[in-house]
Amino acid sequence: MILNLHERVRVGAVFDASPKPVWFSLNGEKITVKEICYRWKERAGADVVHKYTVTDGFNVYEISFSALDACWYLEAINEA
Amino acid sequence: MIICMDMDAFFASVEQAANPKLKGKPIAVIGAKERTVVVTSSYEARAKGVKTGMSKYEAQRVCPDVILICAHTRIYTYVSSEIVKFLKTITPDVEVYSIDEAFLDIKDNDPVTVGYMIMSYVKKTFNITCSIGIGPNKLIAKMATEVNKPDGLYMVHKEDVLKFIDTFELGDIWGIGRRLAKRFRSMGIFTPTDLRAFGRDRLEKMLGIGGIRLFQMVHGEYSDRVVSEEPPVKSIGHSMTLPVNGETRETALNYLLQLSEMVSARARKNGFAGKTLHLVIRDTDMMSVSRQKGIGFFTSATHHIYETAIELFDELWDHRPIRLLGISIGNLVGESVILTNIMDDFGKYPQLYDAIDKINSKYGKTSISYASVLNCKRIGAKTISPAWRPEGTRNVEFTPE
Repeated sequence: MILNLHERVRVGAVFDASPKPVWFSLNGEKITVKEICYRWKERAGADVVHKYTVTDGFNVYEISFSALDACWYLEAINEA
Repeated sequence: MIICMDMDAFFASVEQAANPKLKGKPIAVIGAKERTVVVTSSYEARAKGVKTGMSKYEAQRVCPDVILICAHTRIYTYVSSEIVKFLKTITPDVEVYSIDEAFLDIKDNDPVTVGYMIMSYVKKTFNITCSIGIGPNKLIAKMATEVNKPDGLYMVHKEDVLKFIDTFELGDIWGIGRRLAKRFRSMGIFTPTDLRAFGRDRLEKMLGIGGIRLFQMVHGEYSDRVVSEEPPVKSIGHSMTLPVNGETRETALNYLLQLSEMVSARARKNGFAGKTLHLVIRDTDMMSVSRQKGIGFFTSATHHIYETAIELFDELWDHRPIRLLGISIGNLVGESVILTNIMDDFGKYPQLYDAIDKINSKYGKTSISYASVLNCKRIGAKTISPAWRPEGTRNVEFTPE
């Protein structure tokens, strides 16, 4: 089941050529990103939003990083 | 040689790559939650009878375990744009034929090496596959993509063209529609060989200049070159299938205002003004009526387009429930944004539109809009038109799903 959220979350990321999420927090729990499944960019006016689908090995999450306000969001969860 | 790159079940493959839970499962990508058809489906769904164009209910009937996914247009357009960027690093002679097909004119390099390079890039970067066809012209290259699909490459040498084209039935030749193939079948013409024997003169008599073109095609000849420049834009338009049938004039006008705004904003962004408005109304029986009207002057302003759209709508609408509305402006002039007219009773339209465009450009499309547009249950472009291109006037920015 897919839950659409768009909630601000804390993310640990490596900023290389583009930001690479390594972990994020969800309900006080640290979720380690096992694999970045997909990455793409979307424009929202002047903002460039980096989007990712990632998995911790169980669930698939969609997270995003807004380059303009430098914030991470948990967009959706596809639970096992 | 010409290379044709054709993505394999593009939208469905992207969905499966983005969500590992969908891998190996029958999925169908649909346009939207409401009243929509299957846009494309995964190979697993195709094997169970799901076809493009089926309603979602038909798809669920033939394949009860099909997973319906609402299209994520912004991912597909991003992936397509990135692939086109890569193709243009190989040669500037790239023709984007649709969101998932492109032709390349390869002059100096080995086309097979280039073909495998493209396949490798697509697979490595986006975890999806494409098929490559190589031939002496676009027709042969396009048809060659079908031979080893998916994830395959096939090359037809110039001397093998006739032998290759003869392996197809007429209806399977690119550009020969089902209706025309049926017409030929009723005349006892089933294969390219039959059509060649029918003769050029008789084909010309039957179909005019199209007949000559067809005669050349069954000889494996195709004169259209790879066109890398965007052809001149003749009109700018948007249409929208209403999520719920439009029963009242008020509802229709809200959508017409939205469409007028979308058309005028794109005209202004690309520096066009138009002088003719075309309106189409489709009812729930899928019957379409359309009419065009001269605006009387060149304009890129929403209020001029909307006013003319209302006049046309009132002339055309017969009070039957509306399924789709579409408007376009034609008779375009470039490098000319015109926002005011001598008859306008408000002198600051140019400043108003400038402010609207700046706000929407900074904060995203539809950040500022007319209040009546908020009455629409669907706002913004969500469906990828076949005319969509990664850049230029035909590039449409999609609203988030």
